[in-house]
Amino acid sequence: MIKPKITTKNLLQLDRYLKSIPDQFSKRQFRDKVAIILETMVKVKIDKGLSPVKGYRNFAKYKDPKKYPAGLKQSNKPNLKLEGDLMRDYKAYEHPTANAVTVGIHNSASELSKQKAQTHNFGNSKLGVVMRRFIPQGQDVFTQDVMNAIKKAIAEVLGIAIKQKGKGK
Amino acid sequence: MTLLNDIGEALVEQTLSYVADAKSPIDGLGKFKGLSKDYKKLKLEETGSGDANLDLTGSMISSIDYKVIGDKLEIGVYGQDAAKADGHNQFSNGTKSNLPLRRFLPAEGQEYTSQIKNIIDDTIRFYKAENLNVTEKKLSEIETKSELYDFLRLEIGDYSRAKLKQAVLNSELSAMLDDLDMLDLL
Repeated sequence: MIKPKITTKNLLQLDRYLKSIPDQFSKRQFRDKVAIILETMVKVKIDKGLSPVKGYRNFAKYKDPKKYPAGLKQSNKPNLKLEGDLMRDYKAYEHPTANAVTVGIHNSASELSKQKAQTHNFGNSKLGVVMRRFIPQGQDVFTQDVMNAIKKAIAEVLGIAIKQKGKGK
Repeated sequence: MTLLNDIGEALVEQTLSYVADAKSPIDGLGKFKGLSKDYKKLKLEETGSGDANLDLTGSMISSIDYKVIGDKLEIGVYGQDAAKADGHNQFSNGTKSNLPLRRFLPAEGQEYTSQIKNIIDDTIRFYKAENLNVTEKKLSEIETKSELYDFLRLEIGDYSRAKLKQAVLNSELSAMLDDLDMLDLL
């Protein structure tokens, strides 16, 4: 069986910027803020049939809107949602070693979710599924409003770290 | 990507998002008028949605795009769906549209909603901070918090301290301040 690659994206490499505060930077706090952004912005876009990845805009429609969902789905909007398991597994995680938070479908998710993520993110001509990118890959970034929200979250957590460093914590 | 490209793409993203919610992205215009009873029934059968979201086949909304022309930005619907878009936006004086106004592109004198303007403003602020050209020599002349923020206002724009700090902490400038042990001035 071919093991699908996990589709994740690092959101912050702190090492690239600041040397003096990594110990004070709370990955957990940042992860929690990114998790909120995922729920309130990224998944909301997906639910509307919009890609949360810059440049991809609307998800491609189904070839035959009546054939699928054909009673299997709520509507013919391509929102990557049938039973909801894929979206439930789309999460933010603390990177185990690097000063980073990743977003995507983690190793710990079900094989089915990983397979679905791969299929939607890259398309699968054999299955007749077009690409509907919902996790940034390679040089991709999220849409501008999401990136702005992530940058604000970074600044907030960094600000706390800088204050703690100043107090000698 | 240049700043104008980023802004253009952001405007398209927001337009698509608002329209998906059957709302105008133009300040003051609010929710789109609902569909007629007959058309709503047809749209529900075809798409599973009876919302006035300008999305039957998706052709028109997929044609919303932007162009950078010199130092200006143009947003519109180009190609074969332009006439359809005009029916909804009602910009042309000559053609009388039978459709209710469902404007998703601003007319002359109109503005985007404040939510959209804030996204653009944030984008500009972060871009300016990321593209600052500052020397360590210049920074080392700064001694107080006030001096730092006065400098940042000159370089990035007349924003609050909180907004300037947000922008700087996402830029290489933060690394320079760190090297000079000046982060606590932020």
